Amino acid sequence: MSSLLELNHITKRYPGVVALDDVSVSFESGEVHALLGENGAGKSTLIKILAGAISPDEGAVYMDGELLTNITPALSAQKGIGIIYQEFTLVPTLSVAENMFLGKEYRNGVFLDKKAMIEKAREVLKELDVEIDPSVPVKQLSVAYQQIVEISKTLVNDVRVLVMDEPTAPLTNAEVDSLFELVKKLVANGVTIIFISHRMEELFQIANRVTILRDGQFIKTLDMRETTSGELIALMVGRSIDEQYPARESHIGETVLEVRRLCAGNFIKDVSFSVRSGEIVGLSGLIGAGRTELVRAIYGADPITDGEIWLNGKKVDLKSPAASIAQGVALLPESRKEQGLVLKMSIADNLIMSTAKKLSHWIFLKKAQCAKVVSDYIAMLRIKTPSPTQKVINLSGGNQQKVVIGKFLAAAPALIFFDEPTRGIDVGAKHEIYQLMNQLVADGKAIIMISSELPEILGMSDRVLVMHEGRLAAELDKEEATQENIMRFASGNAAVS
Amino acid sequence: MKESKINQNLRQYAISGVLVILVLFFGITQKSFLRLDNIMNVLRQISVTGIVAVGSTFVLLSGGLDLSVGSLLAVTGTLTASLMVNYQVAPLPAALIGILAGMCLGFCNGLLVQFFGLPPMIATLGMMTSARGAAYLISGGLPIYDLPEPLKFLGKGTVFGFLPVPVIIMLVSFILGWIVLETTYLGTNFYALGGNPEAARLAGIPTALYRVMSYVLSGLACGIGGIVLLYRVNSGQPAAAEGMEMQVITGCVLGGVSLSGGEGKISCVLIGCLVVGLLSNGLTIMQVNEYWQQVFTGAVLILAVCIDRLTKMQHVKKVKK
Repeated sequence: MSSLLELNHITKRYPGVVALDDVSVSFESGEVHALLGENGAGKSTLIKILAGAISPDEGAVYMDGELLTNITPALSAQKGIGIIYQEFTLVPTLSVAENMFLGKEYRNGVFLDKKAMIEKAREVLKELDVEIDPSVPVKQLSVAYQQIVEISKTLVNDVRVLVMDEPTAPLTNAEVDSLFELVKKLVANGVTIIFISHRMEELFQIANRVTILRDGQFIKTLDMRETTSGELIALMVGRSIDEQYPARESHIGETVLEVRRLCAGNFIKDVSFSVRSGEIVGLSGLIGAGRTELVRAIYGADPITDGEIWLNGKKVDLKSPAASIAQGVALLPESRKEQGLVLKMSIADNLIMSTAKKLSHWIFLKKAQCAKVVSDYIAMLRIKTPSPTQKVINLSGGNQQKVVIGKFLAAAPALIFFDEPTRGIDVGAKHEIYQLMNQLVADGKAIIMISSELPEILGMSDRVLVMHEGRLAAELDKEEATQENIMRFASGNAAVS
Repeated sequence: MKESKINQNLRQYAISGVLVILVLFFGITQKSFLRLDNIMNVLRQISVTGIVAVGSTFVLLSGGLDLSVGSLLAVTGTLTASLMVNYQVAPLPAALIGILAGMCLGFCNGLLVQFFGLPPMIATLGMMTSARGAAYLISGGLPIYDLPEPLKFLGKGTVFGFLPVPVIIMLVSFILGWIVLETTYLGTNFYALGGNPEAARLAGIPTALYRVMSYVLSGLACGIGGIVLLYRVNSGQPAAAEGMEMQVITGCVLGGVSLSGGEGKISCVLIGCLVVGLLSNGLTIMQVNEYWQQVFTGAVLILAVCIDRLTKMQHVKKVKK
């Protein structure tokens, strides 16, 4: 292996913060090199420098020993650096081929050479061994296929370094496997992959080496075979987290929620279960199994077509989120930016969003009381911010998630749905959220937690519900709940064992 | 962090800077500009636009758009005039019925947007055309003259001998709007709805109600503005306030209200309306011809929004890392 891409003493400063501080990393050809660090560690800054989106204040980038100066997005692409961002950059209404050739269309004079593009697209997709019709609009594809299109888009150019920012976050386990197959194929062709993920297990599956960043500083580059997840976490957070999932003594009480034969949409069929106070119930299943749809229906965000919901022994009609909140039910939605926060508003305004009416005298907000609630939650959740008037768009993912949690806790719920509470947030913040959930159940609240990370389900739940294609496939107690068991029910293979 | 805060404030108050520059420029170059009667004149000229802009601020903050304001004004005006002149209804009830009609049409806008899912631009564009037609039908296509005396002070009256009543009505509208938006939970909810409707709904805010309410408030503002306009021109004109939606949107946007919703301060909307009024007045005093005035007004709008965009872009660059 030889060094293909080298970053030498890169420094990038923003007002008030050094995003990268004298960082040097070298990437070899044909390796999968993981970048690991908490949110704000400097990974995104590093990628943006490679992409030519920003330029470093100090330091140099070498490719094949050649110094690259003034990197622009065009130069970056020309040198064979491809970037797959977390948020896709596809145009949903255009076809697969059109997306792949966006901005670099084949032409016959002034006319598009559609035939040639479709031909080339088919070729690229074939190389990847995927069955996608290049003439289909991208919006008709599943998220996993869209990602493949996103990757193919970079392969139209001769890509030599492919940066993947959290590529597995939106994928199911099976889809992750095929993504990894694809990565291996690219590596075999000599492509260097720079891989960013918060899921530790994946790194051990796919990466050769790992570089850890913390607070903008280079910490260490390690061979994946010579390290453990414990060591990596310790290096990332700069302290050791004794247990990833803090221990909890469960004190389970009365039934809080009972769902009877619930149907919703065209999809959720005949779901019955109950949750007791002091209990965390994990809701597991593959992506698309209907977990989010189920909790949204219970919460009143989507209509239910049949079935009953009982709260504390009384049948209730939760027609809307407003009705649910009034009944002491809260939902932490799956996507904090789209559903949880008003990014343009301040931390304070977001925190009181659910409770503004309660914090008012007639219609007038009681400013002092609002300020107290806000400062209480900022302190309790340890939201890192210089001021409550800071807009949430300026916060890191973990702190944003804490704002969403604070907003719902302010409404004093007795039953809380957490939909993917730790998605895309760093290890330190994850740990704090786990501790908070433990605290909540210790105070007698009931929690239902949806998570696509099995270790999280196993680590946090008193009981696990598994969904498969809109139905409840299994209810497992702590002893029965193992990775294998859950996966068996989640994939619909319950009969085979 | 400190820098970004200053930057935010700068953006918010950039429009005040524009106002100060305009006042200084016209004040120094044109002797008659800063005279009390001229200032009152400007305020009187922007009063109707200002009243309507208060309602539109609610719609825009909630992420909507109301193009029908001019037509609603005409319906209120002609309906009130017709009731008084042709049906001998007493002035006060007639005015209240006119305002109520404005609110009802606003309510229809809200229903179309909320429950039939029409894009606000389409719903209110339809309303703009239909309501204008209604105004012509009500008045029989001709202006309605000979309004009875009692309410004439609404258009022509002054308080303390110098402060025109329409200006007072405008200022009170802005103050009420400010109170609702800045000091009540209703205001917080309007901002949340415009900033992120789904997040607002999941947070338990009855977003459907607020969306409809924003259009009803716009209808109310049009109703009040319609009555004031009726007495300012002293006749019920079916063609009144044609094109007013653009003046109103200009005022709001100059004041920093985001067309995508959730952002903007009503106090700055007042300043935005003032800038439009002062510009037109100052240019008139300078004897710039009317066509050039239009060119300048448009240019100021584009310039203000460009500055806003540029500072925002810089802001984003700084914060993202």
